[in-house]
Amino acid sequence: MKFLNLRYDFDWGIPFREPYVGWLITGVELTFLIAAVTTVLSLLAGTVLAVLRTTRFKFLNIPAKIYVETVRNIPGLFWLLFFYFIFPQMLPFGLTDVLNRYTYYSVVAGILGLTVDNSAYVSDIVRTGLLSVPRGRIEAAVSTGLNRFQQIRYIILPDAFRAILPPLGTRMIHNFKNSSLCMAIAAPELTWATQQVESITFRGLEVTLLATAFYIGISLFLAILMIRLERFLKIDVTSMTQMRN
Amino acid sequence: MKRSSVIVLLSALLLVSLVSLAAGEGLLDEVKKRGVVRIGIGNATPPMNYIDEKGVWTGFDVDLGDEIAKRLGVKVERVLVDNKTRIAFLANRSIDISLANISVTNSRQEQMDYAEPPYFWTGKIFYAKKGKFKSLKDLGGKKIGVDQGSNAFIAAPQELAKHSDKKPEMLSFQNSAEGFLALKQGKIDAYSQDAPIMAAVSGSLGAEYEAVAGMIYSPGLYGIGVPENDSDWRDRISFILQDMLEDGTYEKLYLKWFGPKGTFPMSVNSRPRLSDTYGDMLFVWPD
Repeated sequence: MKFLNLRYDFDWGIPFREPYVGWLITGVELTFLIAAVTTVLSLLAGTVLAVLRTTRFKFLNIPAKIYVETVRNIPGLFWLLFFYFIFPQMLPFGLTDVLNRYTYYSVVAGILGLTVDNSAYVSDIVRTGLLSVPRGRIEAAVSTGLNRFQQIRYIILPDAFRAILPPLGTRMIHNFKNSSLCMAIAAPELTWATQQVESITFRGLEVTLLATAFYIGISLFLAILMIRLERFLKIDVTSMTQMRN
Repeated sequence: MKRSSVIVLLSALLLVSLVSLAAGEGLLDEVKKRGVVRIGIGNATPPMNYIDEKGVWTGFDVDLGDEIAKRLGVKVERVLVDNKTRIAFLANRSIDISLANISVTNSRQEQMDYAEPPYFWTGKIFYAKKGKFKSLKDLGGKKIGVDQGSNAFIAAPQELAKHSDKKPEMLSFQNSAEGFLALKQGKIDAYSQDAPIMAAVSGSLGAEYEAVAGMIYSPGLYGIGVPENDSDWRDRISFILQDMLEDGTYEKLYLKWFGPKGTFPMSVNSRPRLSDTYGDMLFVWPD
């Protein structure tokens, strides 16, 4: 089959042949693992950072602000290379070798790098959410006798998360796609696997098209899931503003 | 746009592409007419092709490419390729020649052709800290790094399987410099790559490393890549290379890079040659 003038003969058997199919399956598993762990970690780290940034205490909010501004202005790929090549060398002796000898250190470095990168963006989104909680809600929380921690835990964060669900979902989908950056540090995730198949068979289009379909499929699935979640939680911005009046 | 006009547009596109395929003239004529030969060259594999400390794109491949263009009587356009694109670009005809330390292998033959003879004869080694491994048997079950796109990914486990039952753990890096850094840091136990490339990448640190058991395990016969099924073009490049071998131009370049006073002095002889049957005779076709 000639596909216009691509000068390329497709051979759809390639992605389903051993050992290529094995590399691709490992790649998919690892992509899911990296995406899931970084999503959870960056959500936790991002929320803590956002809470720190909105406190009145300078010794808490200034470091958090410096962290976010620094990380946001450095490309994500840098953090992956940093955690893979530089970070282990900075540790006191003993730990350096333990990390370097660990077979799956590339995956660990990828997770650390993506978490650092993503948590900065997440914290920004969560912060806007915290700031959007109407004053009246907080005052009501205070008057019911909740302490500061309880206010954040039971009133402010739940309100904030409902409001920021759409941008947060988009950010996490972005983070899922960013997992492909891990190929640069020899972590055998899906994009690495497609490159590997191409470099051995010189037939990259088949696997690349399959991987593209995978990324689109999962991203769409996540997007739909987020929309369902938004509907389920019934976010109604007007109700919030009414409360403010 | 109406559906009918979409169909007209699509069929016009299809027609144009069919016509251009049918009228496909030989690459030799095309290059002459264009006045430019597009040569794919890498930039991360010293001594074959790299960026020197002054920022100049240089190496044996670069000099060889310039000389080929000169003899074709056309200008040279260097196209940057890497381990993965050096063959793909030939297959989709974005370049006319690929000169990027490509070892001749069976699987690559399906995608491209090579000018004859291979222009640089070397081979793969397992590069590791001096004294760490005595024989290839010790490398069984160890972590071995390779360049992504290098045939070492297949050749290294095949070789180690002859010596040990334990399967090695293969990791592939984006280039040899990153791989060597990982080797230095102990992320891998050995790196497998062609001997002169390892020597050049490790530079002054080379004294602390060695080829395990001092052996080359897989031939790396670098070929000048040309697109498939264009024998006029392939012959032209082959004859240019053989002329260079006969008139001493190749030797001059070889000494400039690998001679005793060259940029990367090398004790092994990597010139294409017929050594056993014919004495130390150059590998060229007789008239």
